[in-house]
Amino acid sequence: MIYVARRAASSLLVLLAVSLIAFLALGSAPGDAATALAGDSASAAQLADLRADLGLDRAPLARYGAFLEGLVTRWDLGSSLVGGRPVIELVLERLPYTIGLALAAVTLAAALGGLGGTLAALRSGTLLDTMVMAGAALGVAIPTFWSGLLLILLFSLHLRWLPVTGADGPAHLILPAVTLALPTAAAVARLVRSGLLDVLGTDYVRTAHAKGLTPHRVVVGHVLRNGLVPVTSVLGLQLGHLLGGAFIVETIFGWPGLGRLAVQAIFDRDEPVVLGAVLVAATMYLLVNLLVDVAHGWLDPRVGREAI
Amino acid sequence: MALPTLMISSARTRCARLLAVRGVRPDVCEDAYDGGRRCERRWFRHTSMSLIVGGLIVALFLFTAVAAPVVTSFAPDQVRAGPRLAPPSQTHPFGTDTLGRDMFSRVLFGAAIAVRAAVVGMGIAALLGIPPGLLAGYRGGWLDRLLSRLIDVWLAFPGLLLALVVVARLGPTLTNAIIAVGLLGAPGFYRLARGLALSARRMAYVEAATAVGCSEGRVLVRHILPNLTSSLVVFATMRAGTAILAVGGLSFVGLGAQPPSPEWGALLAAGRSHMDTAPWLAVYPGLSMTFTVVGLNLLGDGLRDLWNDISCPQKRYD
Repeated sequence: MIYVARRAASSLLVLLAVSLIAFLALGSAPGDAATALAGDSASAAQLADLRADLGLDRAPLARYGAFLEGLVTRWDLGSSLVGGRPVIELVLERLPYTIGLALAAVTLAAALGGLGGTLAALRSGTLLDTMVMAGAALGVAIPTFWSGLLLILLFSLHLRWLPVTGADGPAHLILPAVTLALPTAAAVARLVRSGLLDVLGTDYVRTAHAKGLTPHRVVVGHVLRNGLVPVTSVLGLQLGHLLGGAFIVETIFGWPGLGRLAVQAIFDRDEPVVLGAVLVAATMYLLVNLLVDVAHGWLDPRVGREAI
Repeated sequence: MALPTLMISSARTRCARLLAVRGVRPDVCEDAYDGGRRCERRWFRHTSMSLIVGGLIVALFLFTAVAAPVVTSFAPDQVRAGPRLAPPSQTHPFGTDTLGRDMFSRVLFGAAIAVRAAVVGMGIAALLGIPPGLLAGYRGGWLDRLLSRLIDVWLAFPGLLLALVVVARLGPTLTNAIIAVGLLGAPGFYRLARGLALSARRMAYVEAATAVGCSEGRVLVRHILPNLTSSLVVFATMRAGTAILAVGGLSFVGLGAQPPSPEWGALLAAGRSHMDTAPWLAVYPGLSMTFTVVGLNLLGDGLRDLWNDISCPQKRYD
């Protein structure tokens, strides 16, 4: 319990620092909100008035304080400079899409990578192993924005099995999830393979064989259980990454997630929206990390004690 | 080649026999052997291959980047070098784009941009990450704790999100995308340098250098750093591929290189809308990128295992 509390407290501190950096980087950009709102034709006096209205004439730290207060007391992330809608609304609208895509991709990556890595480890040195590892080497190197295009070319344009873009149903989820899952699956396969090979060489596995357990029970009950603990952490981390970093794949498939919102906001110079999206993504990332650490300590009791 | 194979099989039989005496089933003996020494041997053979293949790919990539103006017969932005959207042919091996520009020269000139992204991006990351990492690992104490917390904050921006913040602040250009990718890579170098310095601190050669009166700076730069070079080079080689992918990704969504730049990600973005009619626009830039990144990863793998083998020669006698 103390371990969890300490980790939660330090996550909160990191989040505070992240919000400060993001606010200073985005909230005080040179082409400020007043210029963007008033347009090119506004006079200097009008601009000054607008700045005072928006609170832009105050020192950055004071503005950060006000921002933080609004965030904590009223869940207020400011308003979009383009549509005028509250940023929190825009972000919450996109959040389910981002979470859905990230979960689908990580589940797929775990299944694909886990299966490939286990087969490669159990048949190490065979053609199957070489093929799985070659596939993994390719999967790590292939850019998602290329594999995504190739998948569209094959499954949407040639075979016409799946829709190209949009988010109207489960069929729309398949291609982006596969695209996102490929590099993660490749990394997972490598990790599972090396983890299992390590465990396969240990004394307790030999003991398990020696006491007459079937190979199946040895693999499922002894090898996988210990060999997969590091994999759960990596999958968790990947989930966190995908929650914030999937904007490229979201752009290819027109998936209305958080990342695409942020990219569009950068083009529109809509800093409050960029800031909101970044903060929400970072919060989710830290939250997932915290959960992963807690889960890790639970799966492998040695971890929690060491960390304290 | 015949002798080592013979030795493997005889050792394998010996192992099987020994285990069989203890009542272990033959297939289990084989597995136990596979999980152990034979696997290591295969790895070694494997890695020499990855060093050669990776080295060749990276050499080809570097050669392309330097020799692009000589090898190609068209300038990368020369419009109407051929008919518009012409499929690959002898004069235009990679076809032409919507403005009739030669895709072969564009992809080749794109290699020069990728080299820049990899070298400058990794350079920024190394410069920002290695010195504080060395200092934190060597000194320990409050400085280490402070710097490590700072890196935690840095890493709390998941994926390319930090790059997004940087580009949002500085504006979408190729240079800013490369700067962003450099910032993204710095924590990795920091952690590696810190870990290495932490273990080097207790080594005899560092104690000896301190004992003869070397200053802290001299110990770090003249004694510890040269010993860490191989690890840092391996890491930089592997991360160079990531840098190319990240700059390409930012350019692809419009936050990096802008048209008419022949950056590979930007080429893919431009080819995207003609995928149905002119797939070569999207195929060749992506293929070059994947090929280069595979090469860099293989080279990194190969170098790591090469240097590991040199540093522990007993591995060669198993």
